[in-house]
Amino acid sequence: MRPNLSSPIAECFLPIACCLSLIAYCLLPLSASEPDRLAVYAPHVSYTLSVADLDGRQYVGIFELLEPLTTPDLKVVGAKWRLRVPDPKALNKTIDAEFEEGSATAKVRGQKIALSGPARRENQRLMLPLHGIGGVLIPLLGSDLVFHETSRRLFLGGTAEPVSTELRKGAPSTLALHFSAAVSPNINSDGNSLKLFFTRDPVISFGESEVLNDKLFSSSNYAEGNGTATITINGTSPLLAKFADDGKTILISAAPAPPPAPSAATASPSGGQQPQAQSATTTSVAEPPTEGNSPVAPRSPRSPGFLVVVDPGHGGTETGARIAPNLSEKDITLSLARALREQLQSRHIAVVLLRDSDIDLSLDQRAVLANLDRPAIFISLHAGPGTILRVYTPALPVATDTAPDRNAFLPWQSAQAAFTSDSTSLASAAAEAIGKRQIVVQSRPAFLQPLQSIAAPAIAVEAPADNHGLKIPEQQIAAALAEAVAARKSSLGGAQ
Amino acid sequence: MIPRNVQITLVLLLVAILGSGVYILRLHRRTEENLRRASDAHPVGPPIAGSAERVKLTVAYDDDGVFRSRETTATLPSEPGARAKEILETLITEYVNKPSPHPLAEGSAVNGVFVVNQKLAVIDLSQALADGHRSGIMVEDFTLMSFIDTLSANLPQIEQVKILVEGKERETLAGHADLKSTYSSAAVHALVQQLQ
Repeated sequence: MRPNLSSPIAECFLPIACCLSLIAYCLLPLSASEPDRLAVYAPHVSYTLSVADLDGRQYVGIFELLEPLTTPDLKVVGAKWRLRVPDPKALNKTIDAEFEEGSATAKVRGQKIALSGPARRENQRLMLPLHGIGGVLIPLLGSDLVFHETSRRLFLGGTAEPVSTELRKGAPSTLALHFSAAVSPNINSDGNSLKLFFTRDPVISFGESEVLNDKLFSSSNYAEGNGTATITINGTSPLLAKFADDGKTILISAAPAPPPAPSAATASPSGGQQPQAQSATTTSVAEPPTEGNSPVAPRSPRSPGFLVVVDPGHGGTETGARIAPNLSEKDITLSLARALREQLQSRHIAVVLLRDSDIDLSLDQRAVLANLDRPAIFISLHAGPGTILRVYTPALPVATDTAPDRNAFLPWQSAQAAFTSDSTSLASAAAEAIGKRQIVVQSRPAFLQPLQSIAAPAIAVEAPADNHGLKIPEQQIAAALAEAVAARKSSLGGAQ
Repeated sequence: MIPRNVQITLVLLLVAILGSGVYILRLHRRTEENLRRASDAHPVGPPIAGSAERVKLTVAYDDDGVFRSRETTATLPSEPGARAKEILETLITEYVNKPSPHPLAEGSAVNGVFVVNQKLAVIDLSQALADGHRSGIMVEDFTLMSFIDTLSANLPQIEQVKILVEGKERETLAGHADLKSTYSSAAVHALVQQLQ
């Protein structure tokens, strides 16, 4: 039977159906969207934190927020949390703050501060509402603060860097994006559009969109959301980005026409999706195949020198082994990495940690970041249940008869093949230094990423842990590893 | 001025839209949950037809940190994929039964093994095996090496092995052992020999 179209219900049917379809379209992707995060930009460090939705309010862990910026000390007594941070303006003085679970009032420097919601305890963490977090941070850190709340971007100490665009007319034209400091966006091309995602750079813009009256460029658009600033350049043909001026300028021009028949022998980085910064590397490693947008952007390679890259295993949502109900492998590895950094620095050895806070980094991202630093040594740290400390050398999934030339273009999955003998020597030195301290140690190969893709001597260390944390004092492990690195320094290209 | 009857209609329409939106969202979540639960309900395969044969197993011993070869008997079908799956199931039985030299989680299974061009074996592990696997560099590596070496010991034509979990590529088994690489059975065998 045909519906009676003249009835009011039937007349409403079509608009309701359309509206429902629209709502369904808008709502369905919500469940699959990426987790909410807060990006923090400070003068010396940029990082992201996960944001929790508690009773409809956004919350962030105050300790995790402060940890990369200062050395906070947080103690809990019953329902009260006492936070103490060093006073940035007075040596040997501290600033105290007090929070109470369920209370929307805090006390910082003796002054009462109203929070936008009650303080909460989640997984042994003190969570504060994100809205109005500046009221707590300004007296604690004593620095200026700008908070883009809707996009969750927090700029401390005047770090915001405005971007300016310059259209250089010509045939074809070039669009230059100028920044006050070097930037490292993740760049993604989509048809005739080029998208630049800034997660680690405090980039801001004073305008949202601009129409570019040009044959090649039609418009540019700036947007912020979920801790990321996005600049979209729309063109009339595919576009290509190049870095200039030491990373302070990005030049966007027409992409060259693709070659008629790509050579099978050429390792294509990222499937041609991500334009690469120009650099004169001596050892090149093909980048891993990307899946969508990588949150870690290409960054400028460091100048050569003896640098140790330390990779605290796991992080963020990837917790690693659950050592105890409240203790994850990711926390132990970060603490051990910091101890190792101290030990190396005390021996005047340059060191970089791949993560210095609780952030997500995929294995491929770790390898990309490490290779860009051109390290002399790479150490990956892990922890797990057991009694023996193990030092691992990378085992390659594919057998190689001869070590490849280090100066050649190395395949991603087996870049380590050119460095296996140095990795083995390093593992031996590490095992020897650990054994000297009466610690039971075992050395063996393992199929472990990112070691296989590291273009440098690389080892992994798995320290035994139990409910109370590491079974061996972390200072002992760190000192032994630093001693091994120092012992190998001269043979791996560093001056003693 | 909007007539009163139109105002009422619009309000009702808005309420209906919002209500439907919430309902759709709930329905979507419920469907996702049902799908997730149903993911473990694999169809039961046909009874295995074949003869009882000797199977070589490369068994991992966690406590000693070594591999040991062991022989057992299993009914093996002739089709290479089904044969490989049965061999790996025999190995998993060794690990699941207590006392186990290398414990695997209950419900650990191989969904299937696909042999491509008679040289590449693609092993599809069950979600239960991967999600219930202990996290650690050595224990995860031992699972991979044991599986790959057992497969190549019984099917010598297999030169490469790729491991999936529930039909999808995964970064690691339980946080450590690399699952993105395609393994050369010769490279794995050489390593197993070092640890025997």
